[in-house]
Amino acid sequence: MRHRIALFFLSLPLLAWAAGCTGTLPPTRRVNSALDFLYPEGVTAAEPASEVVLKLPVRVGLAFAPNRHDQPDPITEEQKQRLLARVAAAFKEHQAIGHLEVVPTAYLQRGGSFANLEQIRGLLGLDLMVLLSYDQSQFTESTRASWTYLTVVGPLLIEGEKNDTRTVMDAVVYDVRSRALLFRAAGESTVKGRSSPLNVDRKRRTHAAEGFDKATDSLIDSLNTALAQFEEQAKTGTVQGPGTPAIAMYNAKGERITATGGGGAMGITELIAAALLGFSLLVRRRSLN
Amino acid sequence: MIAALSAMAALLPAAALEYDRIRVGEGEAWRLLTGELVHWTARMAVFDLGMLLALGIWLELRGDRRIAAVALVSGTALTVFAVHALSPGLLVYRGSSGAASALFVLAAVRIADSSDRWSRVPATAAMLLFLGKAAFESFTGQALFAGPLPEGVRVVPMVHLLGGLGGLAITRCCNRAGSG
Repeated sequence: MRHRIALFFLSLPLLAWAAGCTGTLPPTRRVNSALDFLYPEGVTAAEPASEVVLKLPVRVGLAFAPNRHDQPDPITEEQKQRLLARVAAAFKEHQAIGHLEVVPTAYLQRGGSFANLEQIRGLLGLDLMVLLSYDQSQFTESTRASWTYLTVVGPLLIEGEKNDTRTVMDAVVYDVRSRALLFRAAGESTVKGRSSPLNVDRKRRTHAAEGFDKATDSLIDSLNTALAQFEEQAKTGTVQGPGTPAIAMYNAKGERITATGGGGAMGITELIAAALLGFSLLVRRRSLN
Repeated sequence: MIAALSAMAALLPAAALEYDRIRVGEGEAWRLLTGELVHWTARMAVFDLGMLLALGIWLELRGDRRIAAVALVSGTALTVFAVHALSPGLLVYRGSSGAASALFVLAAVRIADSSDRWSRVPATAAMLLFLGKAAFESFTGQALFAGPLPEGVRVVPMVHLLGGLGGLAITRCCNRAGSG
């Protein structure tokens, strides 16, 4: 009997240690960035664009930027294609977009930069490229309920792990020919859930996919807003206001549809100068008389 | 002559004649010149062509036909240079103020060259005001007291500055040639 009691007390810390090992996972972060793909040697190496010419309707490509390193994606290729298809469907509603092509991830090389985009442009005849980036962090923490893991059935029945999945998706829209950033939009989501030590990996994968789904909804809303703002901004002649590249848009008939440009216009100051000139002439005539 | 050409140009759609960087790049080189015959607004046309016509008539009556023609050509050429070479972000341009600026400075220098002090001072002041404003706007990138223009259209002060300096240079060259 004494041996059994001693064994029981000895096994308690062991079980607690085991529960701690299975119940708490380190936070994970998975990132891919369009900037890393476009400017692998840093943005300073890039030459700024001076002008953007868009002949509507434009042909647009849509793809996830390649991963920074060899880390696996939190979602499968099939899920990625489904998300891209949703973004594409939202984009297609705009009249300015004539064709939208979901570009397979395999076409984009890591650090391929604009040279890679030029290849894709040549291959698919694209004008604009939408590159999606993501940043997803997952946190798993044990709750008080995790003490039930000390029992035999606890890890099977009790979901004592709290999971947080935070996802940010970002879309940048580039004019491939001029290499100018036209506009960008972002969407985010937070998915909260619970898991047990036995299903934590499966739950994290499910939450990751759900996080991407929700972030895509938010991204589509932001993209629609950003596209509308871009169309308004383009009317003033620049991509994103003073200091950014000039833009000219033409319709299918080749007529310019944005009133962009400059004029050599005389103003009030020039009129005053002309009046001074007239006055000096008047004075001279009088003195001659 | 430019005023007459501009009046004729009004019969055609301005978009067919305006300077368009993309179209010029595609081979429509005539737009470099015809862009100076069309204007964004009626007010702009009245100001630009009015000044061109008034100064042209005065110089013609004064017997400065040849120098006025040279100033017009140089003003036009410098406008093309300012728009096409010095303003890479400018995609479309309309206006004849470059040529008008050249004539303005030419006329101001002609009046300022007279021996009468009372006409010399305001003429010099007019020239300095004109060139000073154009220089200030060119270097700060900020237009002063610009008239209303359509959305997305801005004044290009570099055109006034180069056109005016062109007129000044032509006057000085011709004076030297005359005195030599």
